[in-house]
Amino acid sequence: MKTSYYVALSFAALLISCTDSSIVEPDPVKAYTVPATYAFTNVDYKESATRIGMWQGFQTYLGKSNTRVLSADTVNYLWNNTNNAFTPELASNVPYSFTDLNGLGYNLSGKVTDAGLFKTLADSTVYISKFNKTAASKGVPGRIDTRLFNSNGVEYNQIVAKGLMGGLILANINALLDKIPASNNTMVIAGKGTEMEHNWDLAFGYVGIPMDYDVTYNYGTTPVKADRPLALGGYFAERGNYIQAGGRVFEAFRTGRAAITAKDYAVRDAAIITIKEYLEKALAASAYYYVTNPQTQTAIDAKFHGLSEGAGFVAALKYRPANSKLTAANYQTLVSIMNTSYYVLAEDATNAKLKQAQAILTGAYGQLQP
Amino acid sequence: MKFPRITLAVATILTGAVFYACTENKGTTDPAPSGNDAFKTGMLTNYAGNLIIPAYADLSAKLTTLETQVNGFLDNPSATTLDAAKPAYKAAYLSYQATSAVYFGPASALLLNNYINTFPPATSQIERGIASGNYRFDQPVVSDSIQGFPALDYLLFAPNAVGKFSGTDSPARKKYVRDVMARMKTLVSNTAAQWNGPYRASFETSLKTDVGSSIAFLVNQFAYELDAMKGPRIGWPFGKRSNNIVFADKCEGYYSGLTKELAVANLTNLKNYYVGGSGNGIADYLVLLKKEALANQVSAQFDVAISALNAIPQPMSESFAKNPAQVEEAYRQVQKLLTLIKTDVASATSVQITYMDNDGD
Repeated sequence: MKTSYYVALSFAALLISCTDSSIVEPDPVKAYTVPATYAFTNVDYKESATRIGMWQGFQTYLGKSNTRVLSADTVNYLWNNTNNAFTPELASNVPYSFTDLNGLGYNLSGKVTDAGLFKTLADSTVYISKFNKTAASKGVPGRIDTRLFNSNGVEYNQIVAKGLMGGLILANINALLDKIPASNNTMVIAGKGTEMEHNWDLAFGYVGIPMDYDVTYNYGTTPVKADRPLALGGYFAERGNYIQAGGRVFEAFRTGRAAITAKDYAVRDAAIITIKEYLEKALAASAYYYVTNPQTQTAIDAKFHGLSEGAGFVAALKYRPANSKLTAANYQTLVSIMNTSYYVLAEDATNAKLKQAQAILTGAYGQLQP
Repeated sequence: MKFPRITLAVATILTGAVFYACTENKGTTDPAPSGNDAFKTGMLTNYAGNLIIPAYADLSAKLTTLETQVNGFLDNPSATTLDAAKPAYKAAYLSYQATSAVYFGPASALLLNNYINTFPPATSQIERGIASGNYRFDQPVVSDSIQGFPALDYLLFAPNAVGKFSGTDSPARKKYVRDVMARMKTLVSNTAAQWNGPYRASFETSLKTDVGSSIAFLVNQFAYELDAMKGPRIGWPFGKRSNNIVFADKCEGYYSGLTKELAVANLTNLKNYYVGGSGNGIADYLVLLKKEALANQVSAQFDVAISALNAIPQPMSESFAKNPAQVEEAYRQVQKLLTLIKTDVASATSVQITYMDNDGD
């Protein structure tokens, strides 16, 4: 059924090619099927998938700040992937082992937009980790129960981890997808496919989902699979259920990849639009959840943790595409709301500012959570 | 750690996602059950105007009286002046039980219940604070159990408490007690002020039953209070978490011997919230939703649990060890009530129980 749909579309493309042959690829579109998994020939996305592994190791280390004083050197090494910084502790249950990651020859920092900003936030996590033995209160960094907060109640490592879903993941995927139309799709390099196929595969690698991603499978089931959804891909199930981000993005990636090989560019371009839309929307849905849920939480550590995640996802939305429905002005309002001290946000029982953030997000993206 | 919240329902939605191409996503329907908005407005107005705001006003007044009495004791510490202060202490603590269930909105924003009734008190930390003069009441979690009623309970009513107000460290001890009193008053009056401010309108106009709605807050807090009754108030001191080894000194109001009165007041007030006092409450809302049998069953179970509590011989803190049968019976009846609220009432009102929803990642 699916196939005939694409064949019909490709006929449409052919019709266009009759009228203006200078734009459309001259090769005719052959009938093709979209596989249920990302099982294509000549797929190699190790470069982007290992960056997700490095992301996991980096944010895992920063997450240790509540129980140990972090080393600025270790953060530098992890960020730049030098001195064999990845250890079994930091790279467990991920598709690539710590030795794989240490031996890569490339790093996180080189592919992060606003790398300086994220490094500063990571360094701030190192700085406040020395307060992890004392209690936090308004204006004073320290621990509340098991979590470490700065003087405004912010968990820095959450801003880094979630913010990088924009600065590392969304930014790179969108940049790769933008390169697709101009990429070469005739010269096949063994093991990597054409330039266009390879760019597509690299974009897929950044999503952080396995090739046989299954939206119905509970990846928390023990034993936990090493090849499991990570980073933004992990949030498809966690916060992107309602908008069905996981199913839509995975299907669009498979469809687009099959279309590229079949040179069916209309379908490919439709897939690009879906992917961009739903990756951005998954970030927005997560941000929405974390400006909503903390409003009803009483435990202050859980509340501030949620708000920190929310601030991280709002930070990630900075890297949304230029045609985003979220306007620059509204985005700035979101940022300033999340920059308010969480102690101040928490003291307002009417949650006026957080409700304003909710309204901005649903105004731009429609309903994001049930 | 990330996935325990994934439930069957979620999996079903996910399954749906596979077929998205065929159907347009309309989302889930609004969780509001059939119900009359006018009824809900009336019920919530009743809650705010006739139960909640008067409860905070009463607590404020009782704390003012208590402060006067406590100052009388501190100015002239003796068994006699302490006895004179005790009725005011009891009145204030019992009055608190009428606000305990309202731990959402303003109270939750200010962490009121955490700060004024986290028991048992951390006695050695309190003594260290007095000795060093170095203590802070504004640190969430850490300073919860060095202030509020439990701290007063210890400072005023522990064995030999009176004598300590005449010793060498008595000025520091008196200051600590005054600081505790002042903080309780500030927290309660700030909470009352927020209820009298814009929060009241947002409470009364929240007519849905989704997470964060007023009805969801009420039902969640009913369950939460019963969990607290089943755990810290009865179960834990009774040894339910410790292989039946009794920890009587972990109970509420241990030093003042008010444990039983406090428990009975807590449950009686909770029932009052359930029925909505003399106006419409969640019980009437259940009737409106055609769940009259459940409404009556819950009401009856409240009475059974209250009389089971009343049947425990005084002092209750000794009964944990001496009269386990009566305590066990009360525990069982509270548990039954909890089950009814947490499952049947929650599902009848389409409310999701959210208070354990701690983000695990």
